Amino acid sequence: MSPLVQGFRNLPLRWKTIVSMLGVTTISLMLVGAGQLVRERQGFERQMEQRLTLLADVIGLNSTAALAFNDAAAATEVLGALASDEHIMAGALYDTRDLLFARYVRSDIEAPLLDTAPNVGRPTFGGGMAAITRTVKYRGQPVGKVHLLADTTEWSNTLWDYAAVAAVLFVVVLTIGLFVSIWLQRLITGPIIDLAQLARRIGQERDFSRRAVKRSDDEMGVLVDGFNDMLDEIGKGRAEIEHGRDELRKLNEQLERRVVERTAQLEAANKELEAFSYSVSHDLRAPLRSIDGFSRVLLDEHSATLNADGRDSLERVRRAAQRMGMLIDDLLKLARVTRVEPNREEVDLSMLGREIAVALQNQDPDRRAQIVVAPGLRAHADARLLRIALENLLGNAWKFTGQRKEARIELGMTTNSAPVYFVRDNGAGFDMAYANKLFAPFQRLHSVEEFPGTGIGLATVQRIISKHGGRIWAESAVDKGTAFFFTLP
Amino acid sequence: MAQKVILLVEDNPDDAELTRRALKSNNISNQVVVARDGVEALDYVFGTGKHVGRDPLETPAITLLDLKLPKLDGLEVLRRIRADERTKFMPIVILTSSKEDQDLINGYRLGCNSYVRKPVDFDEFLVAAKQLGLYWLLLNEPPPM
Repeated sequence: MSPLVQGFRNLPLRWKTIVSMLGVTTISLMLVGAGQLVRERQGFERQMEQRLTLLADVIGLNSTAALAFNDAAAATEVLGALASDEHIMAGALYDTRDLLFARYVRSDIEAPLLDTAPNVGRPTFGGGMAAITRTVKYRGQPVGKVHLLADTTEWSNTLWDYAAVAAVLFVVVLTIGLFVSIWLQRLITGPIIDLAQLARRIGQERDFSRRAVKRSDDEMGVLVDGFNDMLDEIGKGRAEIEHGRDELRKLNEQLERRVVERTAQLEAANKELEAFSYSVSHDLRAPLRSIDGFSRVLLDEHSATLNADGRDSLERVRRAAQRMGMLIDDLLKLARVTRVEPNREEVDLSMLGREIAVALQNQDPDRRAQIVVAPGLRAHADARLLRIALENLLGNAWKFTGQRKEARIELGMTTNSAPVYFVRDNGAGFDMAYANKLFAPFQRLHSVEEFPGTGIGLATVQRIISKHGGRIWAESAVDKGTAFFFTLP
Repeated sequence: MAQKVILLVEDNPDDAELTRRALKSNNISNQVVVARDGVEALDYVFGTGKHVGRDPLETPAITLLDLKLPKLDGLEVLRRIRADERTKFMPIVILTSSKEDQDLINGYRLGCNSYVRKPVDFDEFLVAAKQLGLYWLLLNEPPPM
C-alpha cells in the first residue's frame, strides 16, 4: 500500500470527504476541458483542410492553362490572388518534373518554399503553419502541383484564450465545489464526527449516562439509535457488575468478620484448653498423690493392724493411683504435641537414637538388648517432637522385646523416592488384623499385665509425624517382631 | 547454732502433710514452717503480717515453693523475694505438680534454684525428699548473710 493511500486512510473523515469531492471535481473539469480542447482542435483542422483543399483546387484549376503552356507569368498572377486571404502565407506551383514553376509569398514574411514539390496528400500542421500539396490535372492528366502554406498562429492564440477561460472557470468551479463539499461534509460527516467524539469522551470519562442526539431518520439515525441502545445495555451491564461487586465486598467483609470471630473463638478455646490441661496437670494429680501417699503411710506405720488382705488392697489402691498418674501424664503429653507447631531444623536422628538407647539401658541395667542405630540419619524436623516420637517408638521396642533372650532393636532408613525411617524389633509383635487400632488413643493390643502402658504413646507419635506432614505405618506378625515406618517430608 | 527452718509454701494440707512425713522419714529434723498461700509466705519471709517481728535476714535453709497458690501465686512470691536485697539469694526450690514449659521457663527466669516435680508415686517422692534434704541442708553452702 503506497504511503499516499495510507495517508488518505488516516485522514479525518471531514478531510477525506472534502479531498474526495474536490478530487472528483478536478478530474471531471480537467477531462471536460481536455475533451473540449481536442474537439476544438479537430474542428479547426477539418475546417482548415476544407478551406486549403478548396483554395488549392481553385488555384490549380486556374493555373492549368499557365502550366500547360509553360506561362510562368500567368501562373504567378493566378497565385497573386492568394493575397486576398490574410491567412495564406505562401503558395507555389510545380511543373510535372516537380520543379518550382511559380510562387507567391506574403510580403511581410519569408516563407520557406521548397524548390521541389512536396508529396501530395492531406494537409499537415506544425510550427504555427498548415501545409497542403495537390495535383493539378487537365482532362485527367496531371500537369503540375500546387502547394499552399497557411498561418495558424491566430488559431493557436484562440486555443490559448480558450484554455485560459477554462482555467479561470476551473478555479471558480473548484472554489464553489470546495464550499459545496464543506457544506455537504457538515451535513453528512458532521453527525458521524459528533458520534465519534461522543464515543471517545465516553471511553475517557467512563460516563455511560451520555446519549447521542438523533438528527435524521437515515442510516445515521439508525446508527445513533444503535449506539444509544448499546450504551443502555452497557449501562445495565455495568450496574449489574457494580451490584455484584458490592455483594462480593459485603460477603468478603462478612467473611473477614467471621474469620476474626472464629479466630477469637479459637484462641479462647485454645486458652481454655491450656487452662484445662494446666488444671489437669496440677489439680488432678494432687488427690492421686494423697491416695498413694497415705496408702504408703498406712502400709508403713500401721502394718501391724493390717492383715495380708488389707495390705494387698492398699497395694492395689496404690497401683491404681500410680497408673492414673501415668495416664494423666501421657494425656498431657498428647495434648501438648497437638498444641505446638513444629519448629523445623536439621536433626541428627542417629545421635538422638543413640541418646535414647543409652537412657533406656540406664533405666533397665539388667536387660540385655542390642540397639543398632544406623549412622548419618538426618531429618528436617522439630527436634523436641522427634525426640518424643523416637522415645515412644524405641521405648515400645524395648518394652515388647522384654521377653526375648537376644533382643534386637534397629533404627534405620530406606530410600525409595523419599527417605523412609524405621524402628524394627524382634519382639512380641501383633496381629495385623488389629493394625487399624494401633494409633488410636487408649487402644492397646496387649494386656497391662503382659506389657505395661497407657495406649497413648503411638497416638502421640502419629500426631507428631502428621504434624510434619508425614505418614506412619506398621508391619508386624505375632512373635515375629514389629517394624514401624515413617516419613518426614 | 539453731537449725535453720525449712519453709514449705503449700496450700494443699495433704501435700503439706506428705512432704513433712517424707522429710521426717528421711531423718531431716529441721523445723518445717508451712505457709498456706503466697501472702503468708511473704509475711514469713519479710517478717510482716502475722509474722511481724521475724528477722528477714534469718532466711530459711530451703524454701519449697508450690506454684499454684491462693491469693498470690508461686511465681509472684518468687519474684518479690528475688527483688528484695535481703532475700534475693535465699535458696528456693519450686516443688509443684506442673511440668508445663511455661512454668519451667518462668520459674528459672525469675531465679529459682531448682525445679522439682511432685511425683504421684509416694515412693518416688520419698526419694526426691531425701535427695533435696541431703543436697540443700548438707551439701550445699548457703550464701553468707
